Amino acid sequence: MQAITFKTDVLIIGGGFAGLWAARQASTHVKDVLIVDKGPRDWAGLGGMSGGDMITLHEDQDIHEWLDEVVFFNDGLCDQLMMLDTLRDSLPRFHDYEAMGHTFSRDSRGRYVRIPQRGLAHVSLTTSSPTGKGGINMRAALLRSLEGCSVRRMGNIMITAITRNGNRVSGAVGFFNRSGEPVFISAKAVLITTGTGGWKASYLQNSMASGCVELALEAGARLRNFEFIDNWNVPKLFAWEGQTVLLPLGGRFINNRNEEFMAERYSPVLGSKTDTQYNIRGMVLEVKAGRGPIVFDTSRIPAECMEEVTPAAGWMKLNNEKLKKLGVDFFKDKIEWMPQPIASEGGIATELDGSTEVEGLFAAGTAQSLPTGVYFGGLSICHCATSGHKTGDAIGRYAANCETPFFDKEQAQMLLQRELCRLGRTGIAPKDIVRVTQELMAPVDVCIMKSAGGLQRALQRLEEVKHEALPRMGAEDPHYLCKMVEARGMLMLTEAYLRASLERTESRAGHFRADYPQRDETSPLYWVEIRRNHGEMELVRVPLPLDSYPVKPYRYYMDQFTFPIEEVRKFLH
Amino acid sequence: MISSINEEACIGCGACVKTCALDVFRLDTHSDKTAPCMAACPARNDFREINALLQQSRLDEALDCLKRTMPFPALAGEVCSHPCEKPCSRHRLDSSVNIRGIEAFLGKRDVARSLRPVPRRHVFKVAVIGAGAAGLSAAWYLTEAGYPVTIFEAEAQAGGRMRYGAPEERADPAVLDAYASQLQSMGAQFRYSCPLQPWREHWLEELEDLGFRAVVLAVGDVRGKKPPHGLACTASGSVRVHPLTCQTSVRTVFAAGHAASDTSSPVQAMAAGRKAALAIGNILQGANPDMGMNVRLHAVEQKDISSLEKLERREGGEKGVLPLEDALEEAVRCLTCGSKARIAYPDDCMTCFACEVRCPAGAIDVDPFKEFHPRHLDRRFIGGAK
Ligand SMILES: Cc1cc2nc3c(=O)[nH]c(=O)nc-3n(C[C@H](O)[C@H](O)[C@H](O)COP(=O)(O)OP(=O)(O)OC[C@H]3O[C@@H](n4cnc5c(N)ncnc54)[C@H](O)[C@@H]3O)c2cc1C
Repeated sequence: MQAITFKTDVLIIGGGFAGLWAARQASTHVKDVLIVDKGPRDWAGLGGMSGGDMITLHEDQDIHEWLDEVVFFNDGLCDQLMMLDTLRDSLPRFHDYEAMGHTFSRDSRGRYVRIPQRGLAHVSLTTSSPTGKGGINMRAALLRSLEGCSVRRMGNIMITAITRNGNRVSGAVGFFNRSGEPVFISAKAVLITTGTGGWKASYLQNSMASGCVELALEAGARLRNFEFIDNWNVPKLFAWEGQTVLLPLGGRFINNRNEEFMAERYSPVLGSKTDTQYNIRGMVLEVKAGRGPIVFDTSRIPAECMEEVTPAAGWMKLNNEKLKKLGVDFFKDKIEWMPQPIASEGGIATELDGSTEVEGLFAAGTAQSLPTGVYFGGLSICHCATSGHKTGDAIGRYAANCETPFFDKEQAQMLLQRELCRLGRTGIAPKDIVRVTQELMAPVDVCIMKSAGGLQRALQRLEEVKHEALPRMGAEDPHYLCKMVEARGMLMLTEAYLRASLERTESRAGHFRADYPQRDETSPLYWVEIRRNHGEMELVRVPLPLDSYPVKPYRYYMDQFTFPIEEVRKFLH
Repeated sequence: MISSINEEACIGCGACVKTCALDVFRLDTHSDKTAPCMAACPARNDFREINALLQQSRLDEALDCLKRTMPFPALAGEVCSHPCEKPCSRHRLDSSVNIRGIEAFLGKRDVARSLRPVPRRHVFKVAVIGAGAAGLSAAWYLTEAGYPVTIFEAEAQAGGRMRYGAPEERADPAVLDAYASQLQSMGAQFRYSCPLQPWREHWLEELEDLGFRAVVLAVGDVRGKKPPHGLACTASGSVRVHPLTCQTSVRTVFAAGHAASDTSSPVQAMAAGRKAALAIGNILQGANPDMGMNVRLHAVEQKDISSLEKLERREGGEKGVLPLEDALEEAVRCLTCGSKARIAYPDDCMTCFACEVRCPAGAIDVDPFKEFHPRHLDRRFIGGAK
């Protein structure tokens, strides 16, 4: 096996927004930073498709009020120190974006637009301008800002394993996913910014299972928050982006009786202006009670806002025009919506500077654990910038002060051969594994109103797939080899989700158990963490260090909802 | 969901192939249309195909493709003026593709390869006279085809003008050495300091007696010198040859490079050496010398590409050699003129519209209705009656 070999100071796996931010900062400390991405070199991950909405704590806003509210929103389950850093750094990164040439929206009086989130009093996001080009422009700005930095970027390389030398990372292995050419990378430090991946749902979640779970567990890192997923509402037949902006402006979910069921039954205070997780629980109960389908109603959005919410550029504009040609008018028709598990909200457990307990291994962006299933729009763009910047700084400093560890080529070859030996083999198609996994996740008692019964059933199915289908997978060509690794990553992600969900025997934030619909007030707040033990996932409950947190949880977002117990119990078969 | 590509409208720029994060598209580069770079290249290097392969990180195949027309990429990267870059379509958008840098990059990989002896496939020997650009090129292709080749060189080392010429003509002697030693490992025999004197009356008979059934005369400029015995010459004194095959007035003798042309760049000489080798292969197998060599060029039409993303041209590092990542990125700048994109892996489209938004030709259609996904509120997944 003749491998293409790179040597670098800092290796960044994943060139999404987090990876780009980190590279920019790391390159101020070392001579060479290398970003590799399995996608096209310049695509910049999901961020390039995003709205570019960014949570930003502006000067006149009070960080302690915000933190208090975030802790409330997360029902106490919040890494307060990391959240504080994120909020505090949001404004400097916001200004960095502006300095790179990016534009955020301002109102007619020149003030930054602030859109409150999820019925909260303080936390708000600032949108990018013009609508529909936010992510595209942020991507361009970030790429421009890397010009002249000592950053190399390579696309179309799938990383399949991180190499180690004792408890110290030494690089990574992978392959060019259009040619199958092996790639070895020797590095002083490695940063995972792959995202954690998801279920390849239809919300343009372009990059599916990212392999993060496998990469991190195998390298010896701990995972956290895998019981939390990003459940998202989408139109049943097509894609539409912008819910986080439409809801605060008056968009509502209504049932077949024209009732805004959230306001009517489940949360008179918040109505539809809440987190998607709660709206989805409402949707599920409505449909179960025979009041489906659920449609998204935009008739109450004030006329003067229509211009702002009608897509004016990018794919959304095209999408809107095409739909109109096909006779679908998003703003006038009754469009049926459905929930979907989109992506995991779990991530790698890190220190504030992104370091893990594996020496030389760091994580940032959505690959780093922060949110807990409830999610206000704009947090991701913000967190990618803040954590990318901060971790980039830390990993750069780390690498500047250490030697290149020995890169064991034999070990590297062995790690890669596991994958390459499937090349050219006929077998079960990766797409089928994806489909099976999606179906396994689909039942409501697995992904929304979770129950031990549902989760166990899914886990059993998962084990079957793991033992029967996975080893029979084949890859006709390098393209499918890449998809095969992704599909396996998705299965592992699903396993992490199911096991963590079983472990959390209570309901809190984005996690709802039909068999434990209340908060567990008897035991102290804990994280569910996963580590690898003899090839298996080992789950541990780790108490939150509340003593070192400024806010002692005293109020709970979930208490603003009443999901009738007898209705919920219908999901326990 | 990706729906179709209008083949007629597609200009083959590969914007879809290059930007689809799910890798749905592939490019077909085989076309009866000649890309402008290829049309301008004396060696007819197919940089459309080469760049398309590099865009897929198929490095070895890209090099193999280049080697089909250019035996010594590392030399060409150095000594060629790259007229191919001038008509590059990219020029109309930002700046031409750095073909020189890509060629030099491939050349660097090429000289680093260690080659094994080529299995001998023919009995009859071929003599190559002169180890300059033309002679080495002819020797290369003949050896590769399995002919036993002997190269007679008057000087003590290979390279001709690339080693002994005026300073601006010279190439890196280490690269010349590397190629000579590659040729040797493939099985070619070098006779250095062995000036064969083609003006002597019986030079051809003598070669024939030694077992040589064909000769490549590549001794450099012969004007004003004693003319080769028995070969017709032009008014200026160069050996007269058939333009396609380099065949001289003697059936088994071929002349290439400066010997057969009043002016000759090293790359033109290499191209001629290659033609001579192909033609010799043809006659030694009983065919007409020009079999398969008459290729017509049809230019690709110029299309509007102004909406494509501008990308900065990467200039080479040391000696113009692009490092791997820059070479691959530079190849991505290539608009693969005349190719056609196709939907290769539709099973992965996520309906993100990026391909359609970016296609400069408006050739792509994405249907806004997405792939069927498990419907979480369907009876099957919600459980019980609806
Ligand atoms: C349509 C859409 C709209 C959105 N709008 C907003 C918004 O307005 N505001 C907001 O805050 N958030 C928004 N988001 C979310 C936000 O864009 C993403 O969460 C964020 O960009 C994630 O960045 P990241 O760098 O952490 O990960 P990603 O963008 O997922 O990047 C990870 C990168 O790693 C690469 N990779 C993964 N695995 C491997 C591997 N094994 N080897 C090599 N490379 C690998 C991937 O190809 C990818 O490029 C939106 C998301 C979408 C899809």
